[in-house]
Parts: sequence; structure tokens; C-alpha cells
Amino acid sequence: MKRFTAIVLGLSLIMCASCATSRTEDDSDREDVVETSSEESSIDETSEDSGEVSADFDPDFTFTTTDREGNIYDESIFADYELTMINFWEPWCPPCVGEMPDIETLYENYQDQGFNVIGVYSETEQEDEVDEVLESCGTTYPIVHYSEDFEQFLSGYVPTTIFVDRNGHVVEVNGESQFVGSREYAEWEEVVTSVIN
Amino acid sequence: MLALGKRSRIRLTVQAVAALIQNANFKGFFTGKIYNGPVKNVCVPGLNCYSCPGAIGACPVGSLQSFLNGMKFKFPYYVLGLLIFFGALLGRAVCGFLCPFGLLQDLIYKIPFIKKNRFKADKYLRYIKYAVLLMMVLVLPFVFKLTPVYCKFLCPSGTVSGLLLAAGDNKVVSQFGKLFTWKLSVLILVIVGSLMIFRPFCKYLCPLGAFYGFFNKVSVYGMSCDSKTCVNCGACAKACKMNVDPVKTPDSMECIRCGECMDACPNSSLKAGFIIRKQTKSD
Repeated sequence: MKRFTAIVLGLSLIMCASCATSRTEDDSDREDVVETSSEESSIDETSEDSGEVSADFDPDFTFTTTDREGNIYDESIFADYELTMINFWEPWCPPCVGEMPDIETLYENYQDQGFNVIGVYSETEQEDEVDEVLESCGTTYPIVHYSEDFEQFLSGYVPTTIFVDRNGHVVEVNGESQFVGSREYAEWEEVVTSVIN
Repeated sequence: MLALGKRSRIRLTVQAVAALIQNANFKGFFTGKIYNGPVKNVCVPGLNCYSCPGAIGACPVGSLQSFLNGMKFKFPYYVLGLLIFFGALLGRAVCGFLCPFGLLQDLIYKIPFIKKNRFKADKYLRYIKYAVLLMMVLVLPFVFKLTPVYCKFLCPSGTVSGLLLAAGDNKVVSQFGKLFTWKLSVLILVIVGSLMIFRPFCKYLCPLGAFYGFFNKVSVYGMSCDSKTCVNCGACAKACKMNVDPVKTPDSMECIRCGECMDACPNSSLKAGFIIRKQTKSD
């Protein structure tokens, strides 16, 4: 029995040492709308201004980042749309992934009225999982990497969402400017239609 | 209530220190934010929720589900290895000495109340925790992607963490809905149950206890009864709050190694310790 135990102990230590990944994530125990988030390192690129902006364009914040194909995004994109929804999500987060199909539907329905969505994720070790998520949710809106420029909007939980109008101002709806947790389609639609009308 | 023997005092001290160490991120309780540093990648042996604002490590049960329910399946070598290591070394001594949620139940049981520790259904209810382990921790996370079924629908340790987070952050409170009501009911049931029954969660529901229980017969830390000095008086079985008979089954899957039986034995026939097995009777 003692030898058996020694073998089991040894085997278990070998298993620990042969771990494929050292990163473990746990979901926090709340309603299925929100997760605690972990921040990853940012990607910094030099900014490139593209397109023309109006004189009212006076962004509350600036940012520079890239999407998964390497295209550069910065705050000038706000000027191209009436309303931009920035949705912070992670591929290991159930409520994030759970609401993405609805967000895609919202994007498709209001695109022609000047509505844009940008999905931002910071996870660096789950690119395969991100592929899976984007495919199963049918996501067509831009998905970009997290940058430290966004830090002020993080709540510590994902999903977190903010809305930015075409002058680069963060929009407040019913006293809320930082939307923590996932929402139903109808709730997001209400926010969008209250600004775009 | 505080008339504790030396063994009980030592165990309580170990439990308290273990709980403090596993939740050493004290500032988290005030900011309502969890710790995200490198130590968070290490699993603690007991049921200590990753989302507890004080937690410095990860819950092994939550971590296990995290691997099994990911968008892409990853075999949990590391978590399983750690669990097997803890089990082979300590078995359910983890429950008795290191698990903060076990400590909570111990303390609640000390409160004077009607005690009903022995009843007919007790024997059958013990099997539920194996179903929890199999279904909620292992099988269902495969079925429902990204959903840690046990954490989401059952774990009261996580509910405590959720309450601690809510105390520090109003945004959390605004998210409470039907699921929280259910989870809170489970927690209240466990707490009220702990007044009357010793460690009801450990006995009937804990998947981690179910897992470690398998190791009790082979773990390095074990118990034994010296048949030469034992007079079969039954004092140990009577003292056991987990309803184990230490003479018949000193390494029972239900034994959390609290040592009350050793205190009760008039002849000191029961012994517990590391590599105890080779000294007394053979298996």
C-alpha cells in the first residue's frame, strides 16, 4: 500500500509538471451575466488618421489598436458612425459569448442607420477559442485587441459595454454610461434607438 | 463552546491559519476586486472560490470545470495532478484542516441549537455528492460550453464570494436576479443545516470531499485502530460527528480526520498521522 501511494504521489507530481497550460480561469459565482476579468498586455501601434472628421469631433479619449488581421483602428472611427458600441468580452466568459449573437443581430439591423460595433478582447492565449466563438456567433463587426487606452472603461467584470457618439463622446443613457454585464437584445436596442432616431 | 481539548485547538488553529493564507488578499474585501496576480494560477486544496475578493489561489473544482467546458477541450493535467497530489498526501484531512468552507460549518455547528446529527436518511444522502461530482463537475461542463455547472448552480462557497464582492461593488448588486435567489437559498439551507447537522455540505454535497474520500484508504496521512488495546466500547463511534465507526473503518471515505474519536478513546487505541499504516495493522 505504501509503495502504491508513493507511485501515485510521484505520478501526480509528474502530471503537474507536464501541464499544458498554466492558466486557469474560474467563473465568479453570480448570475449568468457577468464575469470577473483579467487584464492582459496591450498592443501599441502608431496611429494613422484616415478619413475626414467634423469640427465637432472632440473625443473623450484616444486609442490605437489592431484587429486580428493587423488592420489599425483608432478613435477616428467614431466619426464615421452615428453611434459606436464598444463591447469588452473574453472567449472564456459565458455571458460575453452568450450575448454576442444578439449584438451581431443588432449590428446587422442598425448598420445602415450609422451604427457600429467594436468587440474588444484581451485574452492572448486562446486564439483558437476566439475563432470558435466568432464562428459560432456569426460575428461580422470588427474584433480588436485590448489596449491600455481602454483601461478607464474597465469595470473589473466582463462583458462591459460603452457607447460613443460620432463626436467621440461617451454616451449616457438613463444615467448609465458604463454597462456592466450582458443584456437582452431588447435592452441593447433601446439604448441604440434612444440615440439614433 | 470554547471548552476545546488540545487536539481541537490545534485543528482550529490550522483551519484558521489556512483560511487566512488562502485569502491573504485582504485589500480585496474593501475594494470589491479580486486578486489577479500569478499565484492565482495555483489551486488551493480546499473549496475556496476563485472569485472571493481575498482569494490568492484558484479553486480546484472551478479550475477543473474551466478546462472541461472551454470552447476547445484541454485535458486538465495540472489541476488533476494537484488534486491527486493533495488526495494522496492528505485524503480528506484537507476537509478537516484546510478547507475554509469546512471551517465555516464547524463554527456554525458550535452555536447552541437543536442537534440532529443521526437520522435514517443520512446514509443515503451521502451518495448525492458523488452525483454532484460526476454530473455537475465532470459531465455537464462538456455538454454546456463555457458553463461551470457546479459553480453556477450549486456552490455555496461561491455565493459567499459573490456577497463579498457585492459588499464592495454596487454594480454586482444590480446584476442579482433569479439565479442569485436560487444560490442564496442553497447557501441559507447549508448554513441553517449546519446549525443542526455537523457539516451537512461536506457530507451530502461537496464534490471535492467526494473526490478526496477515495484517497482516504491510501493517503499518506491516515488513521488506524490498534486491535490489541481496543475494547470495543463504542465511544469513538459515538463521538464521531461524521457518523463513522473508526474501529470498523478508520479510513472511511466519510472521515474528515477531525480526531474527536481519538479524544474519546479511553485506551488511546486510535492513532492518526503521516505514514501511520506501516506501524499498526496491515490493510
